[in-house]
Amino acid sequence: MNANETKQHFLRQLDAWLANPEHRDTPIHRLRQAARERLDVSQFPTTKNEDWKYTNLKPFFENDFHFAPQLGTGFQLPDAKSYQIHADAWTMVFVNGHFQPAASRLDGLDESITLVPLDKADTSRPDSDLVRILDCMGRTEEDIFSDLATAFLHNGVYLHIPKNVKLDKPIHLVYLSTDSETPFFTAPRNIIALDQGAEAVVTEHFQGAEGAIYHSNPLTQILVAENANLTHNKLGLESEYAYHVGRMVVNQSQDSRFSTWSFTLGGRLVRNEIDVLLDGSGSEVHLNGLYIATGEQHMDNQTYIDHAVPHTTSTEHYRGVMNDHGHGVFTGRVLVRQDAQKTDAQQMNKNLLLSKTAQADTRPQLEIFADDVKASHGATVGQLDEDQIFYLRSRGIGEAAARHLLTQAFANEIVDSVPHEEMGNFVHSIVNQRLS
Amino acid sequence: MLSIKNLKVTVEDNQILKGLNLEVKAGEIHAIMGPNGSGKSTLAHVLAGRPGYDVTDGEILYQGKNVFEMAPEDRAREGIFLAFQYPVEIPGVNNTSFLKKAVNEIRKYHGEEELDAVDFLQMVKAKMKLVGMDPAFLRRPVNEGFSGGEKKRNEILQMAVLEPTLGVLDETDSGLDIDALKTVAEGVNKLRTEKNAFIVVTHYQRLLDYIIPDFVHVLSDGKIVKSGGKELALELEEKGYDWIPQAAATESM
Repeated sequence: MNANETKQHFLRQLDAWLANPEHRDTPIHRLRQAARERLDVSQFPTTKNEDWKYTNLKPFFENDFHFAPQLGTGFQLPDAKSYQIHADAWTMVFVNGHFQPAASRLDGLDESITLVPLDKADTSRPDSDLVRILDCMGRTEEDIFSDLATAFLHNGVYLHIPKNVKLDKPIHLVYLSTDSETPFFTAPRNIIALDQGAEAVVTEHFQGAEGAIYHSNPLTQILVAENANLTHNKLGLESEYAYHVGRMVVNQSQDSRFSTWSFTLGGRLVRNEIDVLLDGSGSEVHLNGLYIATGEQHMDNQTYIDHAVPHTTSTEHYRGVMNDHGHGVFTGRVLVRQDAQKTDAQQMNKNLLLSKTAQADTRPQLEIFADDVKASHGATVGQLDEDQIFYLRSRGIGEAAARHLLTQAFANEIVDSVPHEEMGNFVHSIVNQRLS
Repeated sequence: MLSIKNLKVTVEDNQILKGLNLEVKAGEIHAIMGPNGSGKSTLAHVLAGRPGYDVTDGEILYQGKNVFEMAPEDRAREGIFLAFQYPVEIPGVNNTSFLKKAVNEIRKYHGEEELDAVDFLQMVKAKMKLVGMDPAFLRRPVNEGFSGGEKKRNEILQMAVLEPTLGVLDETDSGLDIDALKTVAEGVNKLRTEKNAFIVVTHYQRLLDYIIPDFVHVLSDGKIVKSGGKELALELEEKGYDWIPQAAATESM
């Protein structure tokens, strides 16, 4: 299929699904229909689109994805050991887009906290917080993947933490994809809203079974209110045949803090988009990422930070390791608006190429309209340092082991910065596997 | 232990060593002195097997084996150790895991059992005491953010841990204050046995106040032009290097 045929394929399924009489005229259904209308005009991007210059969706179009098919009767839940990170966490598990209460653990969660699958959340009133959040996303985007996510809005998670509540356990949201007869796609929608002074650690975890062919199209909306503090991880362990185009939209108020670690360690073609609005003075955002692309893997990270008001801070540190024909892309757009004096924006992207056929494209894009600003950026694409290799060899470490050690060290600069020890250990072991 | 015959080496088409001869026996300390650009560091690097040096003639036999047929890691495993003049920083690799890896690769090579974490730490901490290093260094990435003196001390620590048969110190004294110099020298002196040997490459005599050499060789323009006992170092300190080629010429007449 080409781009247009693929779009028509999605639309045919969408129209059939939207026509399902089970959908009543709810506020959410109206959002779906509005997104459906936008899809009439929107197109899948090509490499002529500046934002997609280095990511060609051609392999994506070659698939015939079907919308979240029901799990068969013989379906068995994957072993929790395969995705468990924390000894103790509030966990919600989805398989191929369907919530699995039996695998989820929510007992003991304080009643003031909302943590529910989206289809169980109250969305009947158009003025509810949740509907307003969903709606504001639906209106501002002109992106086909976001529109698909909203038009197919079926499930996901609504997390709301009230004022000054600090969670003492992490929240683990697990999206598993199993092998299925036909390629399928899911569009999980996660809403994470922290009220004033709230604190939480949330991990979005995408994992595919070996050989599974599917497309993940998640859309996450994050609101961090005044003085709130969210630590977030996105763990991308999609299968080697999987596609993943995910978008995360973050809105931060005064003195809030948002830190995220994005690990892209699996998938055939992955694109992670992060869009942060620093909308209150004293707010700070810290984006960290590691991508490891081997074989024919393509991994694209697009970040956009909007410093909209004075006295805001952003740091970005992304690293990529590419081997074989792997291709890594990083775009770091930072906008400092005219009023946003005293902005502090730092960005770093480092890429390590382990083969002649591996590829990295890195694009810092700083647009600064204020004059009293501290901004820095750095981007490198390189190979392992021969002096370091020789140093290790001169101590009796074999050449292959020396290269392995240095590659791990390069990646560990990101992994070691993860504040949560269980998460750090989990990622360490996967990164080691990926690099060996 | 080490026999270098007529060694000729070029770097990027420049001939640096022009027929160097040197014999080192177990239990000996040899100092190689000479002006900048005489080829001292080239000799040290060629011994360790650094890429980028073309050996155009001559041979180096170490314990009867041709070192040119050995990869750098195998030379290290056979007991050759180079203390670098400019040790590289390796961010992301901490000193402990680096040293443990090195120790165990060498043990494996000799068919010995690998050390576990407990035995290894015990051994390393004892060696750190020997070279006067704070155990906190173990947790830090290799050489990253170390001062010049700390880097040199770390080289001596590695030497103490790996217990080489032939230690080559490449300008280990450069950039050291007198206290650091003494610690480094003490470390070397404590490691010295009848079974091992050291080659101390230096521009200045002062290190040799603390590491007393059995032989001093003067390297000039790619050749050893004069050899003598430890008093030769003092003579060089007094007179500088300018008189050396003439002296060599006079002697050979």
